[in-house]
Amino acid sequence: MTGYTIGTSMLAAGRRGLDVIGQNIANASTPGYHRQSVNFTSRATVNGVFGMGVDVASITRYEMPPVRTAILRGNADQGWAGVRLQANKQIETSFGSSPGTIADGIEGLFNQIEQLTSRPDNTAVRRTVLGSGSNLASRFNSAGTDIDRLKYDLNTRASQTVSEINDFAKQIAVFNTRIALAEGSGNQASDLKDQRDQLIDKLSERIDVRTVEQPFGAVNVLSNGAAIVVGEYANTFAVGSVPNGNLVVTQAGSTQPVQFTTGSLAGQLDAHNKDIPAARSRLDGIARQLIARMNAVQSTGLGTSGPLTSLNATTSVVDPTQPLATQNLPIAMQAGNLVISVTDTATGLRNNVTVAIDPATQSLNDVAAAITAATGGQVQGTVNSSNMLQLQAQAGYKFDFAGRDTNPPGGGTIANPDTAGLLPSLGMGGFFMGTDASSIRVSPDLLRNPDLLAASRSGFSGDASNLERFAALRDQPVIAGLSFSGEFADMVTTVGSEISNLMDQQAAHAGVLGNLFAQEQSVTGVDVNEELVRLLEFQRMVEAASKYLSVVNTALDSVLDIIR
Amino acid sequence: MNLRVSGQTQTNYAIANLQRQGSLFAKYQDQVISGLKVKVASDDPANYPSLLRAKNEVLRFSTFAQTMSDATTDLNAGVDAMLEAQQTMVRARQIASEGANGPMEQAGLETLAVELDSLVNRLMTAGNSQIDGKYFFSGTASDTPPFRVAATDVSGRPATIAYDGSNDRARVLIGPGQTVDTKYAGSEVFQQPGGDLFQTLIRLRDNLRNPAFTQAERSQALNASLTDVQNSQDALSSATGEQSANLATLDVLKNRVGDLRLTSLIRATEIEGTDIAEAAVRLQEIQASLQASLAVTSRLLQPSLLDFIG
Repeated sequence: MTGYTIGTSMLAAGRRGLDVIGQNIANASTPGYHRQSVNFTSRATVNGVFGMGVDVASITRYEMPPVRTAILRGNADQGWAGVRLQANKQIETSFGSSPGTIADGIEGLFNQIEQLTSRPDNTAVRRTVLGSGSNLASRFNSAGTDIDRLKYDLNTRASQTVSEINDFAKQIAVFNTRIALAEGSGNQASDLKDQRDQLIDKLSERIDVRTVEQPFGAVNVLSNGAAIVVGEYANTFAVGSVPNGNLVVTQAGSTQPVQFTTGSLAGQLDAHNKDIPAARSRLDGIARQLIARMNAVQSTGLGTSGPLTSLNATTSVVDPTQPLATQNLPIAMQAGNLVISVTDTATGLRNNVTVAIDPATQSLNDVAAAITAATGGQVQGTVNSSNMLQLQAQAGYKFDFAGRDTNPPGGGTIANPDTAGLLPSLGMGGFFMGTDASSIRVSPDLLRNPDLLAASRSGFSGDASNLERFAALRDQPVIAGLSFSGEFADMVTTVGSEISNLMDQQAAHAGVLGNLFAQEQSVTGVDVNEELVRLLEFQRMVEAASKYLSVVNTALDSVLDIIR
Repeated sequence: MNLRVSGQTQTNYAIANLQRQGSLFAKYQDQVISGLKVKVASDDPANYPSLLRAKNEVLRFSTFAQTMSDATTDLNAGVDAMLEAQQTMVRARQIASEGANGPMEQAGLETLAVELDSLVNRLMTAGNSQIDGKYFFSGTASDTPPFRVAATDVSGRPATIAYDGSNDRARVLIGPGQTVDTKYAGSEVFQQPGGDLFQTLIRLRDNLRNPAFTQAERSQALNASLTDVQNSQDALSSATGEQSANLATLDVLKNRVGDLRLTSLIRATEIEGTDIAEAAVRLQEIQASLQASLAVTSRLLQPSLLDFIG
C-alpha cells in the first residue's frame, strides 16, 4: 500500500515548504538576502506507472546577475564620488567662508594699506596694517594646516580601506571554499552565497569589482587593476608612498602599483594625489607671490627710521659656493642689478652703488664679495654659518635700497633698485617671512617696530609713495593673468564647481542605485504577503497530508477488521 | 513600477525620499534664518567670483571714502591756514597803503612796523599749522616744522625765514592708482619765487622803519612793497585755488564712490541674499510634501495578510 508513502511524502514536502517560507519571512529585512522557493516534483514507482507522492526537487535561490553587476559598478562609482565630494568640501571649508576667506584677508590688508596713505606717519594705523598682515598670514596658515591634516587623514583612511579590502577578500575566499564544498556534495548553499555576496557588495563600495562564476558556486572577484579573489585564494594589498608623496596601492609580492579606477579607495587616492596637491599648490602659489611681491616693495622702500646699519637674510642656500640658480630658492631671482644707497651719517652724503647679479654664475659667497667690493667695504657682505647673507655697514655709514637720488643730487631716483630680485629671493628686509601658505608670517622685526614699515621711498614720515606701490600690487596680474583675489576666487570656484559636479554625480548614482536595487528586489526580495499566501498553501498541504494519512489508516483498519 | 515590491524596497524608497526632503527643508530653513543663499563657492560656483568681487569692492569703496574724508580734512585745514595767510596779506596791503599815501610821523610808522612784526609771527603760525600733531605745510616731511627764523636783525626781529620741509607734496590714494595732493610743500605756498610772503612782510616792515628814507624814497619803497604784496597774494591765491579745486573734486568723487559702493552692495546682496518670499514659499511646499511623506511612511506595510489570517 503506497498511501502511507504518499502521505508521508506530502507531509515532508509541506514541512519543507513551511521551512523555506519561515526562512524567507525571517530574513525579509536581512540585507543581501535572496528569497528562496521550494520546487516540488511528483514521485513515481521505478517503472513510472504509479505515483508515489511528492518530492522536493530543489530549492530556488532567486538571482538577477546583470542587475547585480550594475549594482556593484554603481556602488564603486558612488563610493568614489562620495569620498571626493567629502574631501573637496573639506578643502572648500579650509578656504573659509565670507567674510573670513583668504581673499577677504588680502583685500583687508590692501584696504588698510590704502587707508594708511592718508596717515602714513600714524603708528596706530601702521600697527593696523601689520595686524591685517598677521591676520592674513594666519588664514593662510590655518588653510595650509587644514589641507595638510586632510591629506594625512586620507592617508590613514586609505590604509584602513586597504585593510578592509584584504579582510573582505579573505572572507570571500573562505566562503568560496565552504560553498564549493557544500555544492560539490550536492547541497545548496544559498545562505552562504548571500553572506558572500554581501561581502562582495561591501567590497564594491571600496574598489571597482566584477565577479566571474566558477564551478560549484564559487566566484572569482576581479578588479580593473588586479585579481582580488581567485577561488579559494585571496590577494592582499598594501598602501604606501612614492617619493613625490603620492599614495600607491601595490599587491603583495609586487612593487607595481595597482590602478583602481572607482570605489572609495580610488576616491581617497584621487583626493590625496590630485585634489589636495592641486588646491595646496594654488594656495601656496598665492602665498608665494604675495610674499615675493610685498617683500620686493618693502625692501626697496624706507621706514620712518631711515636707512639701516645691518640686514640679515632669512632664506638660506644649501651650498654658498654654488651658483644661486642651482639652489632651488623658493622665490626665484634673475640676472639684474642691485642698487645700494650708502649714506655717510656724519655728512649726509649719499652714494648709489650698483652691483651686478647673475644667479647663473654667482654663488652666495660671490654676491657677498661683490657687495663688499662695490661699496668699497662701506657695506660688508658675509655668509653666516647657516648659509644666509648678512650685510653690515661700516661705522659711520648706513645703507638702503630705496633708490633715492644721490646727495648731492645727480642721476635722479631709480625706479627699481633690485631688478635681480635678490632681496625677496633671499628674504631680506621683507614684509612677510616664509615661502608658502604654511610658513607665511609678518616679519617679527616689523611687528616689534612698525616704523620699519616702508611707507615711503624718501624716508619722510608723511611720504606714502611706497604705500602706493604696495597698493598697486592689489590689481596687478600675478598668477595666470589674475590678481591675488582673482586667483583665489578662481581657485575656490574650481573647487566649488567640482563639489557641485560631484553632488550631481552622487545624486545621479544614488538614483540609479535606488532603481537597480528596486529591480533586484523585485526578483530577489521577500514580499511578506506573498510568503504568507504560500504559507497558507503549505499549511493546507500539511493538513491535507494529515487527513489523508488518517483516512488511509482508517481504511486499513477496516480491511484488518475483516480478519479479526 | 516593478510588479513585486518587497519590504526592503519600500523602506529604502521611504528613507531616500525622507532624507531628500529633509535635506531640502534644512537648506531653505537655513536660507531663511541666515538670510544668505550663497555662503561658499559650491552654493553657486558661477556667481561666486562676482560675489567676492562685489563684496571686496564694497569694502574698498568704503576705504576710499575714508581716505577721501581724511584728505578733505587735511585740505580744509590747509585752505583755512591759507585764508589766514591771505587775511594777513590783506592787512599788510592796508598798512603799505597807509604808509605810502601820506606823510607820517616816525612814531606812526613804528606803530605800523610793530603791527607788521606781529603779522610775520601770524604768518609763521599759519605756515607752521598742524593737524593731529603733523605739519601740513612741510610736504612729505610732516614731522618737521616747515618754517623757522633763519636770521634776525640787530634788534632780534626775524630777518630771514627758512623752509625746512620737503619739496614733495604728500598725497593720498583716493582710488585705484588715483591720488590727491593734500599736504603741500610750504615753499610753494608761502615762498614762491617772486611771491615770498615772509620776505614781502619783512621788507615792508623794514621800509617803514628805515629812518634814512626821505618821504619820497619811502613812498617809492612802499609802493614797491605794495606790488610785492600783490604778487604774494596772487601766488597764495593760486595755491588756495588749487586746494579748493581739489576739495571740490573730492566732494564729487565722494558722491561717486558712495554710489559705486551702493551698486556693489546691491550686486552682492542680489547674489548672496535670500529671496525670503521665494524661500518661504519653497519651505511651505517642502513642509507639506515632507508631512505627506511622513504620513505615508507611518502607514507603510500596515495592511498585511497577517491582519486577516485567523
